[in-house]
Amino acid sequence: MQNYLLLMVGAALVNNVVLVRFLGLCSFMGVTTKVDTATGMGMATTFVLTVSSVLTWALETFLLVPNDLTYLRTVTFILVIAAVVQFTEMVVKKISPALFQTLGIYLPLITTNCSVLGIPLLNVAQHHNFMQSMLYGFASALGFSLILVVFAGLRERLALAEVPRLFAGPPIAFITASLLALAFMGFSGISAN
Amino acid sequence: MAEPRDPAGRSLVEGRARVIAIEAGQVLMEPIVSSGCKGCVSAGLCGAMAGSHSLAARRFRIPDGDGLRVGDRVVVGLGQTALLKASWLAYAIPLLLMLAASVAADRLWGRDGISALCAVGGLGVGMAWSRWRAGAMSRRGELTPRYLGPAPEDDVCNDHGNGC
Repeated sequence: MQNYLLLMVGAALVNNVVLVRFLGLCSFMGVTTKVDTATGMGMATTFVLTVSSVLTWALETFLLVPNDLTYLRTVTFILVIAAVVQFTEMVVKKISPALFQTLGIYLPLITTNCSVLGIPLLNVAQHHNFMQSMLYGFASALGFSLILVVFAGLRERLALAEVPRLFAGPPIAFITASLLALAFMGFSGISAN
Repeated sequence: MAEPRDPAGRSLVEGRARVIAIEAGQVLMEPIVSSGCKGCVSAGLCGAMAGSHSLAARRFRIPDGDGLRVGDRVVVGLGQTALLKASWLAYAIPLLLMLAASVAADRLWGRDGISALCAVGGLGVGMAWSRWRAGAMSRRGELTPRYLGPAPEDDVCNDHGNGC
């Protein structure tokens, strides 16, 4: 159990998917203008990323490796992720049309989020078993959501601040993101490696 | 500008919509795509801009739209707490049950196949529970956007300044 906890802390904080691995930067800049939208996007991404990690593990273990088809890994993983997003959209719509109206807009954006492909590929590269794959995907997504919400909060405050015209808008957001990345690199100090 | 709030004083998330039809005292609306999508170079390939089919699927009805006509552009609001509750219901509950089921199976049997099956079972139970809770919320009207007023004439829809 301690191994799982270390894996999750490492995935969420030490090797944060956005600020250390630099994956999912388009969503990071695109949906962090408000905390509410960032939270909705974070939860949707967490769901899709965790389910994708589970499915891609099953695909890798039971189909690609036994049949020596690992050269098709990237293509099949992309297909699985797109299918998971479509499936989630259909299920949310079936469960509650009202929920679909409220949250449906975030789902198609996840398909183009490179972290959703990156994490399953990292799972394969690190030879994770089922539990490790699922928890690694879940923790990475939690780290992604945490950064989304923290950065959205910072941007909401920045919108009220007096910023020099040259730096207003995306430039000050990028500077803030770089400072946040520096702060997160401090977590690498607690790694055993 | 003051933050929009509902009659109970709770904050609202604003959005833009267009009136599509008025039927039996209820106003049918279609959301106007209000993200930065229109300014994106990949807009033609992106699922978020999938066009009329996608927008038609997101149509919603509001009961209180006196004086509105077909084609009007309006501002609608949804409670921030409703958005968070909806996110929990749709994603967090099924996911947490899936994790709990698979961790429990791993502790009990320690085999990947059984853990995977239990994960699927947990996900199914979570989705059933979400459906039940979402139905209750819908019946109370918590997930229905409310009409806030007409959209300003000079309204622009996204960060790039593209009009709606």
